Amino acid sequence: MAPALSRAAAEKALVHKFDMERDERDHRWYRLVLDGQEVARTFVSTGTKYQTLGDDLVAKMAKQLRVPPHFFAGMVNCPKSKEDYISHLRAIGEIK
Amino acid sequence: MMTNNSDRLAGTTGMVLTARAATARQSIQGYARLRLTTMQTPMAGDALPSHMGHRAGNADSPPRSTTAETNRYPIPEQYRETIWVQSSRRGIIRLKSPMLHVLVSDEDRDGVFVASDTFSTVFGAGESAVEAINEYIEQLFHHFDALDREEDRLAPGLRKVLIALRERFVREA
Repeated sequence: MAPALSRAAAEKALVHKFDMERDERDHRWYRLVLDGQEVARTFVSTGTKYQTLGDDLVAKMAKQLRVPPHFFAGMVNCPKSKEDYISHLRAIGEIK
Repeated sequence: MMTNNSDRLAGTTGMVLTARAATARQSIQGYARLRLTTMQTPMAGDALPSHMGHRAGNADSPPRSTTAETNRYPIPEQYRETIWVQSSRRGIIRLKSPMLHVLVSDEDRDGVFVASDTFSTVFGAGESAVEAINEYIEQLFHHFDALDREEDRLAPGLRKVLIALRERFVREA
């Protein structure tokens, strides 16, 4: 089961730790661009009553980012760095 | 008697809940809900509320549809819904088939429903299944549009995602 995460912490990590850009057309989407290539996209649902991302939302976001849920939790809660994430994407063939 | 696709789909799962209660409770923009079907086939002897239509009916006890009473009972952890997207064209983006099979769940029981599908990574969330599906559809269009616009700048992984979405969407001139 994926761990629940703070939505604010997740958004902060996406922007500040992983240097993801907000989509200009819909600011709930975050995209990672490396060397001019877009390599990942994820969506943060922003309902007013859920400030915490439950297991299933964490799992969906992790799927969009092409990582296991616990890896995504590590991305938000510190252990996983941007380099770890990029290495993972390379390992699974998402980027060259 | 099974008369349409949703009935056929429902027939494979064993239990059917009509979505009338939900549609009555909340106006749904952009699509019409057809059926709710559970992902799991009930086992023989499962204690289902008597008003929940059980497809294995007979002449004495035919399958029954539900009304607003459906909402008094817990929603299964995950179920599949077939929806008809009425606004299948948004700008120059068109959904090739207006019928979508959507998975809806609240697996962690936190009161936040999540709608998704089996062909993309798009999801929507909301405090009701209807809200979640509405957000999912909105984001499905957005995701295709965004990837299609950026096709030349996509890494291999996202390019595969775009190819899968092109099975469902077309950008018209």
